[in-house]
Amino acid sequence: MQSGIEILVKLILVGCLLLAGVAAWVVPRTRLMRQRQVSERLFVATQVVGLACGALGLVLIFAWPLRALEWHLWELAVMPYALVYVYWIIIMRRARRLDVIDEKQGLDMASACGATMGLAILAMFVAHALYGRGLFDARLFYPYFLLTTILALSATTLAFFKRS
Amino acid sequence: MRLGNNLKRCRFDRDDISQEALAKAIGVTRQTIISIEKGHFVPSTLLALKLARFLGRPVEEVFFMVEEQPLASDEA
Repeated sequence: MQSGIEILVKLILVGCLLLAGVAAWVVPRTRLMRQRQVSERLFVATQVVGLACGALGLVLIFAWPLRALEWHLWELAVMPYALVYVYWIIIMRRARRLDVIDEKQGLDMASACGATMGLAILAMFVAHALYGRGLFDARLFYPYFLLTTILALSATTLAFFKRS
Repeated sequence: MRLGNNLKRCRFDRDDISQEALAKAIGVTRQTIISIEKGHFVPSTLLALKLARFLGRPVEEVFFMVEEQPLASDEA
């Protein structure tokens, strides 16, 4: 039996994804948007949103694990990050090319991917250790992996980008 | 061996253009220009050529190779 909150959250999630899909299809065909490259401000904002979404999602799945799963709260926490990337897709479609970030941003993201891989292995080790002691619900593995990856990728990308 | 550059000097010689304006003209972020000037980031050939062309200089004048000095312990 689905609760009212669960239905509401599902409606919000599906509504956001549908609107984002329509926007990604329609906006590049109009003159509504002139941006043809991911600006420094958007790039930093993307990483800040990723940090906030990852941290909020992790707090939710550890503070209210059952509610976070049943009410899809962790998906709701990830939604802003997904919407920012839909905006990137809109820019790519408007520019008619994939390389809408500059070469340093690309290198920073590539370096961040490597660092994130190491951090994700560490995070999975922590989850495995907690699971062995009965402190971690197996259903949380996927959201935990996704959220730690988003958090680590955003944090390391921002760190590499701002290092200079 | 590493890549050195005169980007900052060339910017000043070209009407004291700001990092922001140069970045916008070339189509990169200001952070990329800062990083190149500090020698933290080695630009691609294409970006180096774009910068040199915008600054009105031969690319060898903007970018050059720097021989690393061997450590004293290496020479001994």
